[in-house]
Amino acid sequence: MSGRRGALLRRGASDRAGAHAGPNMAPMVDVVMVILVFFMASAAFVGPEWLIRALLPSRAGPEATAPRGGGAQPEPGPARIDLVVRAGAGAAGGWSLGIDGADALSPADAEAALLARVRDAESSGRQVEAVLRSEDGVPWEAVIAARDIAARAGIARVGVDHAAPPVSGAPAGR
Amino acid sequence: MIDVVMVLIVFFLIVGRLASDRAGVRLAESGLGRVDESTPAVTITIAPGPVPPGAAAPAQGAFAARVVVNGLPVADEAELERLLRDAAARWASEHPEAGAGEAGPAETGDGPQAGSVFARLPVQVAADKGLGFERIRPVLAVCARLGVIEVGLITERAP
Repeated sequence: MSGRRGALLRRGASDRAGAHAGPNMAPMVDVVMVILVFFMASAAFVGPEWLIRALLPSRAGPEATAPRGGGAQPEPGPARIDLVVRAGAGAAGGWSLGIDGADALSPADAEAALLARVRDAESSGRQVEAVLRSEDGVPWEAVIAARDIAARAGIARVGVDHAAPPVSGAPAGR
Repeated sequence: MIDVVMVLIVFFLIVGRLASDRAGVRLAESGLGRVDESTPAVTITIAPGPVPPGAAAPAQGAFAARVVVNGLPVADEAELERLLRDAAARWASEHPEAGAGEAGPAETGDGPQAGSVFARLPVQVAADKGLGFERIRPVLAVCARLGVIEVGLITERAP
């Protein structure tokens, strides 16, 4: 009798174990959680870029600054403005902007001067394009800020020239 | 053990991506950009610091900054030019609809060419805002020499 009872007890134990048979959920949940964290981290780090466009003037001449994809030449007679970012001036941020070889101005004054130039050109029906050059030692953020100034003044076509600018004869920032 | 391995894999994936991409680059702010969700053919990252280990450092044409092109460290202008040519050839073969043609022997000239694949190559530049322009100039010079007409400058959106 005791043997039969023992067999029944063993059978009950095996039935209980069979009820829990199947995939173990704990590792799967762990893996899923890790994948979830991975995608959360990826979403946080990889977002759409905030871009500004800049033409790269070629040494071949200004015609190489045609916009991408067209091969289209600039409109006849666009007014071209040469901008030079100069370092070490007394202007806010430690840089200043020279316009067409004139003495460098503070960023605020340069923006006002550029705006006036653009209005003058537009009143005579001409488009305006600008080529931006920079002295050595000028931080990249100043170049970007100068490019923004030109864009705010209404100049849509701004090239960032890799050539070194001419040495200024006059101290910058006056 | 599997859990630990999975966590390590994820950790190294994230760290590797950050290390090869934008680590140490503080982007300049701009309020006049636009959101660009397209995939560039070439992303050039210019960060302060020495030339990465493992990259050759020749005296002439060597960059004075840490230049990374599509995750690959670049030491000098010649290497950058080679990577740009490779990327242009790959992009041209993947985008025949752009009318780019092949970046084959015809692209090996020194000057920019009309209709060059480089003229249509989407190039983005992410440079550290504190770098002097003299460290960025050689990179732009190589792009312009190959015929790249326009680049996208990656910035942070100004608040």
